[in-house]
Amino acid sequence: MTEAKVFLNGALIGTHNNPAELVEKIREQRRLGVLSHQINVTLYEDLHEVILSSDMGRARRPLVIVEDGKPLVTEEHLEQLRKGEMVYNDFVTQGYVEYLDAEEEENAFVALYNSDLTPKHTHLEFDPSMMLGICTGMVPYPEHNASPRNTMGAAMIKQCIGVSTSNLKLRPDTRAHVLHYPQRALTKTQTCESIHFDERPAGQNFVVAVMSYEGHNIEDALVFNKGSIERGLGRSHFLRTFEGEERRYPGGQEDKFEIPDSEYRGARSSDAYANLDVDGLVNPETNVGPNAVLIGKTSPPRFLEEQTDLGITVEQRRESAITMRSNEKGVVDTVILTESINGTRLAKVKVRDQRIPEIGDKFASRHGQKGVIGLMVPYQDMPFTESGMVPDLVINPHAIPSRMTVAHVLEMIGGKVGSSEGRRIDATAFSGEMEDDLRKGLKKHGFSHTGKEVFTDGVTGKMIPADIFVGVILYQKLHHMVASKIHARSRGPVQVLTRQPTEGRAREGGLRFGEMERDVLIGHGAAMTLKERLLDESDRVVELVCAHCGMVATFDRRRNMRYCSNCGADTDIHPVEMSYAFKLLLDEIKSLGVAPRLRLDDAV
Amino acid sequence: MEIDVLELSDRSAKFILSNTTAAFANGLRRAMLADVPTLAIDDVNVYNNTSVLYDEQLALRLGLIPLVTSFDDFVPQDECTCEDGCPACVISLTLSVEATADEGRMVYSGDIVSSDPKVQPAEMNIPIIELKVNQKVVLEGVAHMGYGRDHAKWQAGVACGYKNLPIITIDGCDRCGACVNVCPRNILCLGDKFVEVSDESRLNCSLCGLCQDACEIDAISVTENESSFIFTMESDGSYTVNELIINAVNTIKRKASSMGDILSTL
Amino acid sequence: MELKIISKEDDEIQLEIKGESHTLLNMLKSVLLDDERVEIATYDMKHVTISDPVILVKTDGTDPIIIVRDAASKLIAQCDEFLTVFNRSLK
Repeated sequence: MTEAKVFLNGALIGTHNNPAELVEKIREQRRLGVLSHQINVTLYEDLHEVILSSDMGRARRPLVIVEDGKPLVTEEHLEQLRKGEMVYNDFVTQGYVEYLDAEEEENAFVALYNSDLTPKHTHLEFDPSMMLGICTGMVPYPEHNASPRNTMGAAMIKQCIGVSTSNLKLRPDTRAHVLHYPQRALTKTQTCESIHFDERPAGQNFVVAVMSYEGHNIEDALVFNKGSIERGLGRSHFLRTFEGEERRYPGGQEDKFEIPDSEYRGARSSDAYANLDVDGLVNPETNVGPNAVLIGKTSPPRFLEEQTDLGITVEQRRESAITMRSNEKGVVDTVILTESINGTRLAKVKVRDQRIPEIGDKFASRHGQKGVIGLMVPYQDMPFTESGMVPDLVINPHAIPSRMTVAHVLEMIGGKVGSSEGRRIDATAFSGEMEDDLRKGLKKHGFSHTGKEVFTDGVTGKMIPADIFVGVILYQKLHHMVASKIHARSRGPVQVLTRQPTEGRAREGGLRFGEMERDVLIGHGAAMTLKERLLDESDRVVELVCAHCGMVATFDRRRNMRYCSNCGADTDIHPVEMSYAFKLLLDEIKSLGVAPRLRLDDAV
Repeated sequence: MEIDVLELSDRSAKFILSNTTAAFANGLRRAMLADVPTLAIDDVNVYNNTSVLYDEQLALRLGLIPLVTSFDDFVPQDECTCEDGCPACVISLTLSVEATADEGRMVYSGDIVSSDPKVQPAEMNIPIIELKVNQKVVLEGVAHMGYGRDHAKWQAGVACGYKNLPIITIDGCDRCGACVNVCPRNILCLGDKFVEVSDESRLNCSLCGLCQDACEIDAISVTENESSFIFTMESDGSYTVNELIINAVNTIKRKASSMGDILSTL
Repeated sequence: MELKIISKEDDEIQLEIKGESHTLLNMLKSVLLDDERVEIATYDMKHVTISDPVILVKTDGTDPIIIVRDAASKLIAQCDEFLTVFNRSLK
């Protein structure tokens, strides 16, 4: 047998004649505890290589060691674990359970269930649901979903609003959300218990009916019950903390928290500072609107002033108050005055804004079924059952077939059974409650086993001919709320360098008319519209160009004539319409020492 | 029109309304939910709140507490003849509670003190907020009369619904019993010659039609009576059920008659 | 409640009823359709939150305003009948 090369963490450290025995011995010593449990070893027989890994950052998973077709973890061990005589770590240290990384799994033959074990197997799975991570593990019945929907569901769980911390009132987070009435999920999984989701829940159990409603829930829109929203469904608060610091500048000057005097540069009108107390900080429980002053602060002038004509340097301080963002409003929640690391005074103002669900807010179930509120229907217009029950949410049936999220439908049945029986339903992957048991539960409580019920229309009063599927499912409010996104601009600030509209909602920017949009106008032959978008509504400028030398000329105001500073001509200077970005290009070329000359011809 | 009362109490009722149209039944239901005005706290002046909830959260909970209303004594503020607020359109309720230094306490709706003895919370045991040691809530709630169509706190009836009276006809049954097994409400039972349904259990039928699907010889059929309805309703306490039904019908009458009056001037 | 006549002819009327919703309009429509003199009776609300309903009545020639007034009276009669029967059933 040829010698096998042995690698440790990617580096060749030697060769070995009998690699199978080496690998066997290493594994044995690892299980005994002589070698560290963090080492993983793999043998590639056809390549004659032994790979040893001990470095950081390998994702490993635990498996039960199987010898001669029998797992080393026995029923007695499990009994001891239940009683508390053994802890999970004992299994690792005593060599019954080991962690395999992706490389060593190549050598392993893992059985899914106890009944699958043969003498050839090397390891046994704890539970098939262990292949899922934390967020995917929170999706109920994931084995009934198409896999991209599980991925999307897991991604949206990370965006939902709940109770993120219990000391929310004490922490000045830059942005924080909190849901008013969080509820634990009726259909839960094993992962939910392990991560203590019950202690920080992030969603509410909605009564959901699946039917088309007047066309307002097309294309994934949701129709909400206005009465439920008025009772507190989906309400949350958004908190933002603003910070101001009395900085020290070289030269001994420093900022100051105060109500700025009207003489200072940049000072606003006196009613802008009406909410500030004598110390320059706004008081708690004050209503503040967009651009309201929260911390009154003045700063020394940026550049040292020169002496004025009278010979005295006047210290013209600047106003540098901290204000609310231009598109947010709220109520001041907390004001903190403390000291920073540098020993300077630091003020933090936390502002809270109640966000009641409105048209445009985004909600999602845990199965990748996201949607935006399309309409809020008054309580009396919603379809109702014989007991007067009315759904909180109406989703469109078109959302189900193409996406194949059968787990969504199953969770609705499970939630219905759970709320009728007053218990929670276990929906862990591969080992949750069976669908037949859930349907039997429905029948036991007087509901049709199909999950459908007879509804009457709230507007006409007539019975709806088809039965409607209705159930209870956990819906989450995602932090994409329309109040944080709505943005409009007709004319506004421009950038200094390019004189084009600014970018971003926070800077009151414009929306980009991109390359594909340009193609659309070209396709329609709308040339003047294209010029309007790209020139007139953006950075149009009329520059004087000298016909003799082709360079940009100026207009001398004092002598009231056009003048080319390059060649000295004062005749034959013509105005040319161009974008400021083009003029900027000419300047940049000039800065390289190249003369970009414009050749002018008569307009046809 | 006929009414057959099955159950009646102060807070809930179940009756059969027959020989009328679905439009009338629905109009009655909608009037009970949305058009009968009730009292509820609308403005809250918070003087001191050191509890764990924000002022806005507390205000919502106060607004949702049902207040006992008398239909004739109060009017909504925009219909009131007074200029600024009078005892007929504005009622003040106060809540002033503090948890001691030793232990916390739960604040219930029974702790609310009303300025008008007729206007009280309909239930005394609604938990408003739990106060921890040394926390305090002092506020004044101003109650106005309003309609359920404007905000759910003014909704007078809760869980008002109806279904059409079921008609179950059995003809040519062969006693296989498939329909009896599949019915989720155990309405059908096997009689001597064929499957039977008693008159009381017929009312319980949910019109799901599972028995119709289960029968292979189409011997059973379930349809609805389009002019008879089984009404179920509950009041939230602001009115008794009798008052609520009568007020709802009077509200509809008043709308129709004011429309008739305007039309006679045209 | 405010009424505004949008269009009126000898046998047809379009009436805008401000401040009302399906509660009154649906009942009115049902009573109108029971009247033999009525050929078309329907109502429309452009959007739930922002618009006022408009009712359209086409008759066989009788003055539509009279017909609508009769419908309102019939509705009042239905309500009275309900109250009588209800009070009787309580005893």
